[in-house]
Amino acid sequence: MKKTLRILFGVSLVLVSLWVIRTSSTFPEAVSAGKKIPGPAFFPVLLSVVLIPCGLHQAVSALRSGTEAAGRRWGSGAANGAIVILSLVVYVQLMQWMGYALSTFIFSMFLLLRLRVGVLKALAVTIITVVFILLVFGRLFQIQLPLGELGIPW
Amino acid sequence: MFEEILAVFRPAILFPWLLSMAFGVLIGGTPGLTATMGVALIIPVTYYMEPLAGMAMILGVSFTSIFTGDIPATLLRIPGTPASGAATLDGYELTKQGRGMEALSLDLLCSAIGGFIGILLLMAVAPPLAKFALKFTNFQYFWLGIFGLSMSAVLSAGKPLNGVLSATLGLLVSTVGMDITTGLPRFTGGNMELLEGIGFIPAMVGLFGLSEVLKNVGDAKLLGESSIPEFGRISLLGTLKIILRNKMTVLKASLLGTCVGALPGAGADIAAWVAYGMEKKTSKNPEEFGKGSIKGVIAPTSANNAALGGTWIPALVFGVPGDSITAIVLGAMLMYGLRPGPLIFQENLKLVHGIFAVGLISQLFLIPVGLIGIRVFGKILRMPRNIVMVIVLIFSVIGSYAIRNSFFDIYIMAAFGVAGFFFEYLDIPLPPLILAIILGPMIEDNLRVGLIKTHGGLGEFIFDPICLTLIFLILFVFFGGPVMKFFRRKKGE
Repeated sequence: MKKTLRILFGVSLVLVSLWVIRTSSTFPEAVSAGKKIPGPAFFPVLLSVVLIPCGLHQAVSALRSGTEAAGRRWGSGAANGAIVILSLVVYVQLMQWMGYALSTFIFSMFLLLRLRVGVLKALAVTIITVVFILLVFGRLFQIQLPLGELGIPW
Repeated sequence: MFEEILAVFRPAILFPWLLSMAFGVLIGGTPGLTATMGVALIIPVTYYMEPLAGMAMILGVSFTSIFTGDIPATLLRIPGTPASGAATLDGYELTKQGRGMEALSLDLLCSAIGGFIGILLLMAVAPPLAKFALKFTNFQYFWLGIFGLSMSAVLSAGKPLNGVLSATLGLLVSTVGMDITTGLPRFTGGNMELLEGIGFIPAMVGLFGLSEVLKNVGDAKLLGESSIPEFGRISLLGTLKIILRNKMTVLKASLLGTCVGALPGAGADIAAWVAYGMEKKTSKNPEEFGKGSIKGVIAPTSANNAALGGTWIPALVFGVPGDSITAIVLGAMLMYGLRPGPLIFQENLKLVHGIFAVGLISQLFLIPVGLIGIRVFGKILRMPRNIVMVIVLIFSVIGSYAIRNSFFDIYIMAAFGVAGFFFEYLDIPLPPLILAIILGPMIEDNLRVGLIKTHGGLGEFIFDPICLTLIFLILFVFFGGPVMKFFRRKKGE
């Protein structure tokens, strides 16, 4: 898995660098007193030129490494990771609709239960966290927490 | 200076400062949460405060969490923060011998003394160095930025080439947004939210917060884990006597820690290992190290807190971070509308003095806060990892949103979190990436302005005493080790 990922990473780096060079070529040139000066494309192109050999090195060294290196096991842990990311996306969507407090309550309860925390403990942790953030961010530091389309004031 | 010392006791500064120290206890004492992450999480809270209150919170979190990181390191052999890695060696051995509390009280006092020495050196060295730094040209600043990135790339865990890759990628990320010279949008894909560039705070919270959450939830076995052994009673008087008997070790480690911390890219973790190694090498009884040596506890714990003062030297004087914490500090300073670098000693001298005062007084606060931390840490460590991770995740989301009230920033945080998780899996260090995102605009600006001044000529970029020194140092950072090894081998033949 690590070997495959390293190859993919190396190839992606090369592709991104080539895209940066191509996109930068469309930037207008900078001229001062009739002379060409380093413009907006200069630095990104310079960096891409460094990144291409780095990416190639990643891919080639992974290819040469032979057998797959023993790494992390991707079992239920990977599922947890994927669920965290997916629930994060859903959480942001929910927050835009129902506001901070309700969406955070649902998100926190869901994740805590998924990570095998007891219902009562999960409920206590969730309520304390939601209220703590409301008090510290919302009240103490006057940060506008999302209201959502439902317009719930917290 | 006396005025500034009094000023830091205003409620508007004192309360958030003490709160942040309590937060630092929680962060440092919880394995998996780093001091860098603690500082990253506290920045959004400081956004609406006066700069000195924000700085007090940052200093409070960093000093406290570096110390409390030693608590699980001593009692569980799990470093609370990377800076506590070296503290696990003899501290844990002492715990196994039923002397855990002796190790922790030594650790607490050495951390306070080390931190005090670090800040005193910062106060002594920074102002004259700033006068010198004022004369720096664009070319010299460019090379200084590259030197900082090189140090970070080489000293971070993993292969130096991976560090270079990480730094280069970070520099590329920093080019997203409106071009500083021409105002042209670069790589924004027409997205208005990207015009200001990729938010440094969401990126950092993702890299250090979310990636840590993903790492922890990915290890299903560890999720409910929490256990601590018996560790005895505390005696500060007895500890003071031990410190007095080992005063030279405390002093040497603190000075060394400050010097290592002052190197751009190095930080408290490297300082602790260097001090431990140096103490062992120069000890009359090196065989005692690793078996519960008192000096083995004193050296790394004095050095890691002293290094924090050291990391502020390049950050304040040159605007080049000493480690990932001061990298975040620089970002925060820019957020407050301040300009880190030599000019801050002219434009915001009161703030600089305030930072010095907060740094010194934090060491005094550290002792009672640390004692409370040691007493309550048992409860904190007993909190299962699955609960801590969900709380961190929620704070990461709200922290990323709060800076610009932007949901887009939460997605940025998530993207960097996933990237950070895979980067760490592929042994690509994260500190150079975040340093590069912060230093990117400064490096690009100085390179381009410098080239405009010389009409594209590279001569002044290289053939200048300071530039040449910096280039030599950069080359030495990358090739010094292998070259010295080669010559040693030749000599051996």
